[in-house]
Amino acid sequence: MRRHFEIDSTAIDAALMRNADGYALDVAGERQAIALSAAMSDGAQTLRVGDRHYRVHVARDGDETFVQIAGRSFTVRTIEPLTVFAHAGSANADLTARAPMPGTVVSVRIQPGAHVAKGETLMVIESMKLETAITAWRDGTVDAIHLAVGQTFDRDTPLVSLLAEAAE
Amino acid sequence: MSRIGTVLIANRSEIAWRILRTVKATGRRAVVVFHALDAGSPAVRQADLAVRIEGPTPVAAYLDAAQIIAAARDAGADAIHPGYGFLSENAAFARQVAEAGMVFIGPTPDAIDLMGDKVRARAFVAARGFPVAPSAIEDDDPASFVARARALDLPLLIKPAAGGGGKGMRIVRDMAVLDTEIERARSEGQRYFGDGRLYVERYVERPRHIEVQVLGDAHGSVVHLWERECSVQRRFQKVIEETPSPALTATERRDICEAAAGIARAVGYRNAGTVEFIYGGGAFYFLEMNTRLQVEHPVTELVTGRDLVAEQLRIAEGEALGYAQADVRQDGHAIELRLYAEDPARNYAPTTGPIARLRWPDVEGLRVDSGIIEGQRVSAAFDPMLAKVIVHGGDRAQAIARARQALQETVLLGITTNREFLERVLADDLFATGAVHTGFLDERASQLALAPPDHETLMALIAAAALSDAGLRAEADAVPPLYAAIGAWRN
Amino acid sequence: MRRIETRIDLRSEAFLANRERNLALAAELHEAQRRARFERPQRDMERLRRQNKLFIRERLELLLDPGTPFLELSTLAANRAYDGEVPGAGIVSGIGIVAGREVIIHADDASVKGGAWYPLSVKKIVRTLDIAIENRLPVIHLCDSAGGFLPLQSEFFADRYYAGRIFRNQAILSKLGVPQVAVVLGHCTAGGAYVPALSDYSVIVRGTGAIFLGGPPLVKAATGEDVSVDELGGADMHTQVSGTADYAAGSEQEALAMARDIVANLRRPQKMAIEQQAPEAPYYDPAELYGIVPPDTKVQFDMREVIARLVDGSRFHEYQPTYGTTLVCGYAHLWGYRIGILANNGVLFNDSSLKAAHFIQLCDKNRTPLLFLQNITGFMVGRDYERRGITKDGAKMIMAQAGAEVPKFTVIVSGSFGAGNYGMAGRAYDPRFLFFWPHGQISVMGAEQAANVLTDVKIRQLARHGGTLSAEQIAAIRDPVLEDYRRESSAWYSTSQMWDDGMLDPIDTRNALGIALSCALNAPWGDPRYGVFRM
Repeated sequence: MRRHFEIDSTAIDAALMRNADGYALDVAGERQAIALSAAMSDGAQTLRVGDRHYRVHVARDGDETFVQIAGRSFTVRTIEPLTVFAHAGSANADLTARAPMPGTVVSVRIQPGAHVAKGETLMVIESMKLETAITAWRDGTVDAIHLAVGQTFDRDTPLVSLLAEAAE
Repeated sequence: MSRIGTVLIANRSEIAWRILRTVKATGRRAVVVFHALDAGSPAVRQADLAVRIEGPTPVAAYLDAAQIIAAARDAGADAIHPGYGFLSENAAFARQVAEAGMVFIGPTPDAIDLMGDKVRARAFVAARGFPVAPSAIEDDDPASFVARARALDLPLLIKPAAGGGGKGMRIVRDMAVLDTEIERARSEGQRYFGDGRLYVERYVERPRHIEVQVLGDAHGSVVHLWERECSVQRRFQKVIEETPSPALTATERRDICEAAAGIARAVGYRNAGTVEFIYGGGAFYFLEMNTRLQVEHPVTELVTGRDLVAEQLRIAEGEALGYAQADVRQDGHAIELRLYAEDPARNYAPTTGPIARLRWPDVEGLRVDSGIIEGQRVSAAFDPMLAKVIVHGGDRAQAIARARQALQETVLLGITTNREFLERVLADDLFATGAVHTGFLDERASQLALAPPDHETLMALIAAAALSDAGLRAEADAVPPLYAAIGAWRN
Repeated sequence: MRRIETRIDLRSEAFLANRERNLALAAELHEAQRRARFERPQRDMERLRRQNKLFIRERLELLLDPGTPFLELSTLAANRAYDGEVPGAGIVSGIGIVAGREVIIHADDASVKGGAWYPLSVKKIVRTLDIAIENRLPVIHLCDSAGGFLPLQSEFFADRYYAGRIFRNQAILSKLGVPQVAVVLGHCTAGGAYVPALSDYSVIVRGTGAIFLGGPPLVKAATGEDVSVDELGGADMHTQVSGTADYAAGSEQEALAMARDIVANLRRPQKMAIEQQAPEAPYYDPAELYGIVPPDTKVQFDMREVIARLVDGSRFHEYQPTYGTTLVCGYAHLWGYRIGILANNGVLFNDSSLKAAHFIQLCDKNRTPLLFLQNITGFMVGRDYERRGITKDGAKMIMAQAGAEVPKFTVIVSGSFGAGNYGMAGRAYDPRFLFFWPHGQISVMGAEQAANVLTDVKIRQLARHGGTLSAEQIAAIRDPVLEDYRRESSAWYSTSQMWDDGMLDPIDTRNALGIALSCALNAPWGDPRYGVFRM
């Protein structure tokens, strides 16, 4: 069954399939038998992909799978096809500024309802001991400010939303 | 002074845990304070008593002197160990602890005051004949500050007078931006330290950060415990520290260490402290003195065989050091790696997430000071340092090899960290020669960047993600066995 | 169960010659299927791209579970009709897996005449829905049709099994509790509008999908009203205002993903329980079928050799091995399912007919689906056989076969002539599925017998008036008849007319029957009303 996988900035569509004696993975027509053993006493698992066997550590949290393989660890985000389509079709994609990194709100410069010009500072956040200004990415009207001064946030948290533009 | 039976540790994460180990190992009772976000942390789990504290923000809780002193009093603590950061260099707090009838494990409030003011500290050190960098100090004459700064040779470094830890620091290579950079540094200084005063000094290009550990007792004895090289930094924050420094000649080592001990003696320093220097072109300048236990103190412990926290406790109890400078030996080489919740590929932006899996490896000479445990969530509320991986080896090469092995075999899943990046740095040719400076990571950024995973690795990652996804597996398993056995057949 | 012991010499001349001919026939079949599936005039493909539509084959791959089979039915429908310009009759029909559920798909192929419904298109849709009814298979309709092909309306509109039957079948499916999901990927006009309307769930693509009884030109002509496609029957109108459709999708991909999500929420039906065991591949290589079955329907061969290459482990329990030997009967497993097989090894005599009737009743009684492997020239004729009641005995076979409650499956392995076709569960007897091998032939009698009969009639007519015919004149009468017969009795003609559910490469038969059996178990079947009469 198909899923959209994101690893860092790489996005890959793949399908997990059953066959007579296990599972297979299909990535753009490349099909390989795959298997993941139960955890050994040290928590490691053996991952088989075609003829290759890897010693891996795997953990999950929601839609994220964390995999340590050959000394490196990765986060694989799994997205259902319908979610991918829903986001692709969203007309509200550019309505909200999201946090580029985790941090704290230092100051809020505008009120909901305010008209802002492109480039105007909406909010200042602090992360890594550096201040970053969140500026208006287009002219518009502020719809909502999602956080108050002093609040901390994770990456991708909505910060400020602008009202949708009237349809042409 | 009498024996300290119960110590309240006014800190969190790995340092709280590290202090707690020694407090308990020396037969004392350990009390910790914690914010709710840290409820599951190792220190809280292992403390004899853990007291929850609150604040408008998680950080504010650990800065709330009154609350912490009250907790200490309730817990029957004899002393408070502040660790590093938070209240560790707050002279007012040190005084309040004393007024509450407890021992502040650290230097005297006066020493904190003196060294806490970077401007006064510089003047004090310079006046006693120790080397400092050419500078312009705002307090000397605020009206002429900018003009005096302009008169110095480029490049310049702007620092908040009350600062530390790299906060609010700005490098200026073009006089045209001096004014705006001064304004920014002032705003950050105001916000972080409640003090917008600045000073500007000559910035040493490709400088090395070398610091010296000192210990002084209440009876006037001061020794140094050799230097630490802390030049591998990003955003003015240390990432890798080691001792001995690969840069110093024997003479330079002696000079710099004796200068540090001399400064401590001049201050009348008591307890553990660190004197930091900028080293470049064969010269070193006094930078600042940190009047507390330093993050990177374990490398000193590994090569000297001395437990600095135990020493702090002894000194706080009024004991004499009991040994002379000549007794402080160095054995082998030690390296510390700071494991941060950050993404080196995204300009070291901090990361958040769960500690979904954590396994420290079994490696010869390895010591791990960890503030995290499996199952915990790392938030943006605190400093992103998760743990310190410290390794001891017979020489630098062996220490590096062991450190690489330790990093490779550490299992840490759920959050992006700099683990692999640290391993890349250790494997770097230039790092191996010891030719590092504080701009090393920026300069070597392209060589140190991790290659994106190759095709086989991507396939393996997707396979692992797909097979560990119960929902996805259920969908695949929903295919009736007959159809699964026939496979992608078409007639 | 014993393994069949083959008597085939894989190096014999006959085997090698058969193999060569049959491989060529299979290649011809696959090439014809490839053309029917993929070859389209450039302008039609360009139009699809312009309309931002996917090709039907891309739609199917997105709809089906990856890595699962698709049993396509009647791929070569209409291959001998409409000058060959309506490949597959413009409809794709087949059984596959969507979200783990067995479903049957009816998909309009807009790359063929804009998806217009020809008479054989209608026949194919009706047959698809008949299969759905008989096997209780959920239906997914991929709707993208310009409507009926009006010049031929007399051949698809009015009669019992014409277009109205599509919607009647939809209603019956609903009555039986068999779900239907419609995905509106293009226009559904006039009758076509009822396909989504009569489905339980419908998804419509914004921009390209539309549902209306009369399109904008018809509305303009009828009432003078100027209205756009979107206003009249677009995705947002139907999902927000009229409620005719349920889900609006931003793209075909999203629509198909939604359809999968809908199917994932369907109840999984309880299947009929029959004897089953772990599947096992045939012991003998199914590819040997090419060398076993002579391409000439007049050449006899042992059907046990075919059975050995279809069934699990090539194991076969033969019933009455020494009685009525021109019909081989017995039990085997196919993809793990226990089945009863009736296979022709010659003409049907009295004893073989009685054996058939008896064995069918046994299977009906012990709930064993029946597989008919046809290679039949008919029931034996002649005075002796009529005196022994061959017609009466044949009637018993037909009675038992037609009345059996268990599902039946028929494969025309070679010839299918005369009443033998009836006894052996021909199309009229509602086998759940009927497949045809490429060299097979079907007609009321053999082409040469028929030509001879017709020529004899002519000669006798002339003889009554004192005339005679020269060899050339006889040939002039005989040859066209022979030619017509040969053409109309070929598997290609049968499949063009949908007298079957498709031609099969012999080596695909096992998988096709496995899927057919699995589907058949979705529908409950009744109990036999009498005990087993020993004939």
